[in-house]
Amino acid sequence: MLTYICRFISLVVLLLAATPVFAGKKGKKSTEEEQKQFFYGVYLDYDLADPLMAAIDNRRFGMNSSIVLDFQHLIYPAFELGYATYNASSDYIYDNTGTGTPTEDVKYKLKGTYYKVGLNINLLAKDYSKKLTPYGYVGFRYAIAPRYKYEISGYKTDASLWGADSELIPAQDGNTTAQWGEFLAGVNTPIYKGFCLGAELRYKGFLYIKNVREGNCSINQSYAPGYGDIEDGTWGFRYTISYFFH
Amino acid sequence: MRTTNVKQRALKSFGTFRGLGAGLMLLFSLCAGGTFVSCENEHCDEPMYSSMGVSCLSEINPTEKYSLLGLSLLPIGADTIYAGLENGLFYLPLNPSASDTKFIWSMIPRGYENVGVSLDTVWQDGVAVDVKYCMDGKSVSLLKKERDLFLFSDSTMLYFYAGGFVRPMIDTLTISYDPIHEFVSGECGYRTIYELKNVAFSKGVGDLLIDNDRVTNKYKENHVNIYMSVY
Repeated sequence: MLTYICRFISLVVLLLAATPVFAGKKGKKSTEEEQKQFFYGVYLDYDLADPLMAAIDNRRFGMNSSIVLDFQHLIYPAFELGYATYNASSDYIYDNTGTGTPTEDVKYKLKGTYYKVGLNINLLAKDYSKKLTPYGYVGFRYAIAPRYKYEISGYKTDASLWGADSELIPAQDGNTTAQWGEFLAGVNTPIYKGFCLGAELRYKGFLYIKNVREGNCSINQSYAPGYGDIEDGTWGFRYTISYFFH
Repeated sequence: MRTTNVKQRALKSFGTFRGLGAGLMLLFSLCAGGTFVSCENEHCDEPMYSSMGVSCLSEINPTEKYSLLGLSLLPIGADTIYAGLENGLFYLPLNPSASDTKFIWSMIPRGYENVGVSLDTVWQDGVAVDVKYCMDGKSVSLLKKERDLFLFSDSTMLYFYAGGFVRPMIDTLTISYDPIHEFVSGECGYRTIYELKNVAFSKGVGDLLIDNDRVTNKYKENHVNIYMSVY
């Protein structure tokens, strides 16, 4: 965890180090500042990290795209839309039958869309004369994965102590909702005409997932689309290609 | 003039930034790739068992722990004996496939009486093959021994205490509950937690009180108080 925090802090420091932005505030408005527009355009981006992760891990699939508006090269309201599926039926299953033979043929799958809204704030110096400029930012997101579907089956209880056969727990098929927040830091730079490349590091937290109670089963999800594994998913990244419309 | 210089410097930083951006992206790729590929969790680190915590307290002074001379619990339907529970604080497993679990409560009363037991070794071809325990005019074999509790073939239970055999006080502890199967994760599967409904002794060795009706996987949590009469 300390390593992640160090990486995050280093990133922010690097961004700030490259930003002599405060110095310009003292002077009178230059010609360029007079050229300042209220609205510069819209970025439409696609996250390349999801296909990359899917290539590494065939149990997951995801798509993520966002629309980012550029106001005065300073404030960038953002809306993200994503879809993810995850097959969390692990190869390794805890031996919950107590028999020494782990349960086999278990299934734990999830799929659903998620939405994120938030804001980025550009920390770099601004060239108001240009519509498209590089920017380095920090920001936040509120995220929600509403009514995402899950399927769980094949798991058993541990009744080995009682000399009884392990009981197969009925298959669960339902949906639930997750909400969380994200803090992020990233960079975005034009590469060719209106095309840009961006990279972003995210810290996810404040996760809330609605618990589902059905009969004598209580389902606590360990994964949420757009968040990932609850235990491991605190940090995330996006690696985007975007087009700037103006 | 000064403003212009500042501006030029600021704009120059865009050029610097283009290089910096590429560097940062490389840094991101390395960090993020390394981080996320290594984060796959294929282990179940969650505590999966839920045990019911029981405290034995004195009926006369309910804040005081009640120590027993000897206490063992035998879960009915399981081939296990929980012995050595004399300190009056213990944790019991519950059956996830049933709505109640019963334990035979076997304790040494304070006013215990010794039982006369003699041993008779059975020999065959000069080799000792068995030891018979003779008590109350009958000869029985030892079925199981757990610490100082002896369980014989005719279901008699005796404690070996203070240099002799002692007949225990027997009761049945019945715990009624609703088992809830709680899904933990793909790796861990389900664990069972219990919502206690009732606890009772068949003969009334002590008075029972449910202190916390939710038996979860939390470590060392107390759920039931037993207020013991002085036996």
